Amino acid sequence: MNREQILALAPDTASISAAKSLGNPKVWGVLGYSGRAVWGECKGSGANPYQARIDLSGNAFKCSCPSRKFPCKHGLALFLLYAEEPQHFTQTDAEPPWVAEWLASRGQRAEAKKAPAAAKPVDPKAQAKRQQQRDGEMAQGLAELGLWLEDIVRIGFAELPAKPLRYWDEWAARMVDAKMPGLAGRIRKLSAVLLQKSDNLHLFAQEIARLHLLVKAYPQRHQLPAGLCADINQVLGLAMREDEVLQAPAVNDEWLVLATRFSEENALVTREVWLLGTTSGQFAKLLHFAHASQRQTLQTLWLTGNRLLGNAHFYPSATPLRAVLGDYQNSPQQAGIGPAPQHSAFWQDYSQLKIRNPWLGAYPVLAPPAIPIYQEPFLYLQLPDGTAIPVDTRGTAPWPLLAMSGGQTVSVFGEWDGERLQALGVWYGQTYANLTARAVT
Amino acid sequence: MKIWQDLVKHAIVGTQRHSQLPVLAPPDLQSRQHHWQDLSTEQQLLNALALVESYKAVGKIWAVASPAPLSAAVPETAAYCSAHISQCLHRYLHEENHALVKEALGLLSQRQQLLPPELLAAFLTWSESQRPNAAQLRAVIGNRGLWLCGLNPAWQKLPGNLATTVETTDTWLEAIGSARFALFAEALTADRHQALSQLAAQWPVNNAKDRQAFLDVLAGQPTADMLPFLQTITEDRSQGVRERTTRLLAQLQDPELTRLVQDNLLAVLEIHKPLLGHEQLRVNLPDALAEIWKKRGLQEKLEYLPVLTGSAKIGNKAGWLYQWLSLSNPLTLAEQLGLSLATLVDAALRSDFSAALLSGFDFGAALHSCAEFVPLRMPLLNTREQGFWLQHFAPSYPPACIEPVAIAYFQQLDAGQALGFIYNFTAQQDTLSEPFAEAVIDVLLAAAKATPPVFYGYERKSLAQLAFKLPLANYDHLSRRLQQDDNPQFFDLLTHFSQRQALHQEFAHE
Repeated sequence: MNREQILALAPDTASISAAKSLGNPKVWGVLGYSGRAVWGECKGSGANPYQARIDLSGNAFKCSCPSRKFPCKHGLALFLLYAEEPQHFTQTDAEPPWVAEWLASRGQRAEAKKAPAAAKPVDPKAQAKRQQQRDGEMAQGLAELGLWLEDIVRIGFAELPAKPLRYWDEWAARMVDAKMPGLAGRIRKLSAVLLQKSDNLHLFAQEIARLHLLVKAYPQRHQLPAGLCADINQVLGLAMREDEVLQAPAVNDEWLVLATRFSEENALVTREVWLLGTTSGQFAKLLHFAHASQRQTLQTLWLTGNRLLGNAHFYPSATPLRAVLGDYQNSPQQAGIGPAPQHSAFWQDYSQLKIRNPWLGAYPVLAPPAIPIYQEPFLYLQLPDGTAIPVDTRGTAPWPLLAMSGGQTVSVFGEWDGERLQALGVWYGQTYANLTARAVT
Repeated sequence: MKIWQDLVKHAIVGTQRHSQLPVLAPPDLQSRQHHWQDLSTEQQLLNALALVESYKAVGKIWAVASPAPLSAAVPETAAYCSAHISQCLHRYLHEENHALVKEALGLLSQRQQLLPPELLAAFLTWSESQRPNAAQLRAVIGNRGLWLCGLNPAWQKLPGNLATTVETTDTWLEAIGSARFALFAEALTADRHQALSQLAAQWPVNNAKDRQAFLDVLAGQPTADMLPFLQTITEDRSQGVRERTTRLLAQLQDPELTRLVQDNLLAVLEIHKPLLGHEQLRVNLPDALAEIWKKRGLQEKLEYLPVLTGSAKIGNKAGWLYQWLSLSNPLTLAEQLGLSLATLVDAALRSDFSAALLSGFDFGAALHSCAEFVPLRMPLLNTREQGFWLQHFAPSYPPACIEPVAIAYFQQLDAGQALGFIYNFTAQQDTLSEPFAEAVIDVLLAAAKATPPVFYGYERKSLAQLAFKLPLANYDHLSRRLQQDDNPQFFDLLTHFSQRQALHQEFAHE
């Protein structure tokens, strides 16, 4: 890890400044490292020094300071010091107890995650009864949703913007009661679509059409391919546990981290990590969630250009994308992205994926080599045949991509949702740049 | 697809108002529609929407019609900075280390190197909130940066030292608010002749406040080529504008005004040499302020005299004297009176008009950077007044003249007071001489040992800023001195100082 990569882990710029002030080895009473971890004791304002430690296998941090930031300034400073001035650290195989205990507890938690769920005693009768009850509630909820959709097209979309937010919230709550939180989210998004200004009723109609398709598909789900059935469950919001996913067959590859993005909504922090299998050309997306007050649970850090050798277990789907990493280790190959791959999903493949999964949302694709063109407020990727792909600039400013192209052809990696490309990374010249990197202001 | 548009229109209106559904096309879809004829109209419409939505999604030609082509950026003629320098720059920006960013941009500019494309957007965004530093940035963004600025309206009027083109020298004419004066200053640096011509043409349409602000910009870069313009505005309708114009003309030694001031002062000041004792300065003030001075913007009833520790009530006639003296170089005046400057100051001190005389000398000496006046003035002031004098007038004198005086001043203070003075004083200096830096470090080391402590934590930023003033030529020695105590208060200062040193070394090694 170099300084830039470490600083990229900082939760905010204040943490960076604070960490810099702890960059002097004399602030640290103890500095040590083993094959597994780095640790240090930092003199603070209290009687006892703060104990900061880093698990090198997953770039995970822990510190005894009371900061809610993660990683805290002590963790960052320790990592910076280790990366830049390792001569101040004492190497030893015997970690101090406060480091060894932490490493052991991390190991236990990782093992517990891998342990099969079947190990827990299950009452099959009770389970079947719960499932039956749940199926009943869901079937009833979907029947209500079907009637509601009929009501909407009867009165007409034109009447809907006048409905209060309460109207949508009540329907969303009904879906939650019917054990289908995924549908609740979609209904809330419907109200948001209506509040948007441009072309919103076409988007609204698309969403209504997809909901109707779901209402019709659900009763016949057992006749559908298993992957599509899983996609229906995913739309409904029936989450699979990670340990169940880890039972699925693994795809072994060298996984290259192409982009990482953090977002926060209603105090829920979401981290998205896009991986590319360098041999298979397959994309995988890791999703991690944490409450805003518990960001530290998102301990493992993913840096663009890192290469991981190991197994990815995909959530079942007709268009597998979301995955969990099983056993993996850092690749001996030097970190870096290399040239744009030629064997991954291209932008034109999206329609084939859509045939397999009608509820498919955004999917990672490679756009063909194209020239970014900006016509305020729209950004396009102009293809050699003269046509162009619209690029979404709502979440990401167009300037970095334009600066890197300089009006020349570049290859863009991003998520395509059928309407716009959300650019996540770009190959220009011999270089790759992650476009989701934290903005610098 | 037209059928999708028709179905959406139908759904917008609602089936209760429009029950006849359109026939689906193409025929494949139409055949499916026949299966639903027994269903309710709402069910049929929902089925049709779902079918057509899937149909168009899987068969859609995604690309839109071609937008207007965009010309590519002109290839660069200068080289990009190295990958390592680029990483450093990114880090400084990420760490919001604005002073180091500014220094790094200056070094890039000196070496005629450019920012790489991946940093352009971040640095241009940074410049929006760092307008004073935008000029340096403009020099290192290259053709690609200019091309990018052309695409973003927020960056199109970025001021900079490439302002030699008509486009950039003209930007101040269109700007509003304080940016107008900043851009004018840039234009003045780039092309004085054109900027002054434009100012002359624009002058009458500006209000008095703006005219004063433009004169303040000119006062920051005074040169003799401004004289023709200034001479045309001596009869401005605003007293404030006339006063500033007169001061600027005096600073530039406009022959007419200089002669007028000298003649007037020689008429009102008379040296009497008694047989015994010191020379006496007699002041014979007229009964009324001549119209010519009112036209020059001098105030007839100046109620308060600006003294070092605030202001003091003053009589009308003493106010005139003060204003005349503040336009004059005291050294020249002494020569014309046939005295040494020391004798003139000594006589002024013993005059009944001593407050007006000495204040006038203070401002007059500062206006003309009269270095000889400084060692004569300091002993006349108490410690507190010396501090105020240095804070106020030091920027008007060259560092070589003022630094020894400042060192002598803060060495007589206790560590806490000396620190406060140093923070304020150094903030006005670009870089410190080696003797001054040594003296500053003496104070810092003394402050670190002071009891009770004089560091409270809140001055860490001020301490850190000192790192950008210390001379790098003596880096090893200065940093060793600062490290000798292992004082945590100096960590930021040392970090910034070492980063500066590393930055300069990086550039030196390339």
